[in-house]
Amino acid sequence: MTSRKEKLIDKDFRELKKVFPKMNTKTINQANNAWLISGDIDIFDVNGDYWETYEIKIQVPFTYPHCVIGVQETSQKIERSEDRHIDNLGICCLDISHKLLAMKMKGVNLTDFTKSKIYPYFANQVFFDRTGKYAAGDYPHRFDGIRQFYSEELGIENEKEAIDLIQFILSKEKLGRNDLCFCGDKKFKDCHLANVEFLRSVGENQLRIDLAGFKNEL
Amino acid sequence: MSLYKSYYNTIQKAMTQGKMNESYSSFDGLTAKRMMYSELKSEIPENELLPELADLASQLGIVPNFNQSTGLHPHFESLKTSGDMEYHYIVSVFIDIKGSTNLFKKYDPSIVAAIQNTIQKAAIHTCLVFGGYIHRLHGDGLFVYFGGKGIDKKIAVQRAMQSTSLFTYFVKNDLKELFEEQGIERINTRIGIDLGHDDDVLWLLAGIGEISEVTTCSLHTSLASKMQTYAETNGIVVGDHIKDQVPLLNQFSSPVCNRTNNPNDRYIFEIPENNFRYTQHDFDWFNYLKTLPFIATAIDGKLAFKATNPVVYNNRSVQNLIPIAEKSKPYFNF
Ligand SMILES: [Zn+2]
Repeated sequence: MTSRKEKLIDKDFRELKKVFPKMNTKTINQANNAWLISGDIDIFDVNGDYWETYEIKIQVPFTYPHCVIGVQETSQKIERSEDRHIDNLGICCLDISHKLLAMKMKGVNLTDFTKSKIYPYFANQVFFDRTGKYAAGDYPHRFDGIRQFYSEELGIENEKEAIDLIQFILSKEKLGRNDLCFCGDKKFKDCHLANVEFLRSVGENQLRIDLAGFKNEL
Repeated sequence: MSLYKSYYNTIQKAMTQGKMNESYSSFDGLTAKRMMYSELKSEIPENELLPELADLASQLGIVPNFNQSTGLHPHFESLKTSGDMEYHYIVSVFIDIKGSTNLFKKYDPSIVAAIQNTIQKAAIHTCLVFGGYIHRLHGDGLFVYFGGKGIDKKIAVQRAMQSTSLFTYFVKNDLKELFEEQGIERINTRIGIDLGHDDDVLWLLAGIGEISEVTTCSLHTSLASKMQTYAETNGIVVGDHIKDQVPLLNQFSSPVCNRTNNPNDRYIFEIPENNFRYTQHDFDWFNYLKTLPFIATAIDGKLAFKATNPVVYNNRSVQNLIPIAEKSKPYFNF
């Protein structure tokens, strides 16, 4: 790890502490090649009412800002179960992997990520505690969640479309914006271009998993 | 802050009642005024804590002492009859509450009295919750001691800092809002705090006969009072001893001269021939509060009390979580 990286994380850690003053400890986890930022996160609602405090650990890989930030809940306030999207160690499933991987490609900011992903995740857990459901629902577990993501967020209607799309990306073929799309429907820019751009940023590893899933090979 | 909700409501009620009765001050109604005053005064009990402050006291492990009387610190009571003197450390706190003069422009003295009484009660209760001893009331202000026999010096310092920080937050945020609503120039606090060690503080009976009090003769009590005048609006100024006693406080302190840009403000006291120089520091009470276990910080920087008793939250609505919670759609793939 270079001192430039160390400087960046220190600067962003200071920024984080201004908003989340009790996220105040930074250590190094050499085994995971990551920094660990730990402390308390307080959850308020939009009316300014305080609800709950969770003790958490944020794992920031040394590749920061190009990384997937992980979160572990250590106060044991959330029942460890698949329904709560948390594993036995308290590792939290913040979002569908595709979105996190796309963020990795673009680069993340620690404070923005904490505000936009970690904070809502825990607000949602408070909501679940009181109502037994998530405010905007949740993805089904494992591959069914990926299937739902392709259909709801990418507008992919069936397995064949998904398989063709992924295979096109993995083939690394080049298409101009005005060329006919690989699906043969219309111009690339008016058809699958946006999907291709998003999924490219997700990375080949995830795409291979998705492909196997759609082919029922998982 | 929800901790002070009842105090806030009472002051608000006094302000609206006082205004509603435009003719209130002109008509000859001492009886009506008496009733109004005692009604407002009874909104908050004197000798017990409202649930949230009681919750805080229990979190701190403190049983507030409502039986104390001014001018007679219970640990040094015997000095009143013996006429003896004793050396013992103490934290001296001077709280000045300024700006309530402006209230007379709008309200009858009976309303002003009710408002002042409520603010003072908030101050007294806050100090009691943290185990403080109210030594003297002056005007709207208070002179409070923290610590005493069998109380760890570090803890006494922390309690002094925590109570004054919390009260300052109430005045600066809650009261500010209320006073601005009513178009009154707002009231504010200035606080000075210092610690005198065992060798520095002499306890004795001062005065004559019944015009007397068991008090401290100490450079550091005097300095606390003097430093209070150097505090900025809603500011707290502390002496070297305070920050030396609790190293954690260092990160929240900076010499007063850094703010005033006047090098003469650095030392509140010096004896150059002895090489003794005593620095006064602005205390960043707001950021200090955020680190305390009973305080939660919202993303917008507002603070809340973390009650252990959920009953006080009956006004909350889970619906207000939705706009934040719905930004998250969790997924499980382990
Ligand atoms: Zn297409």
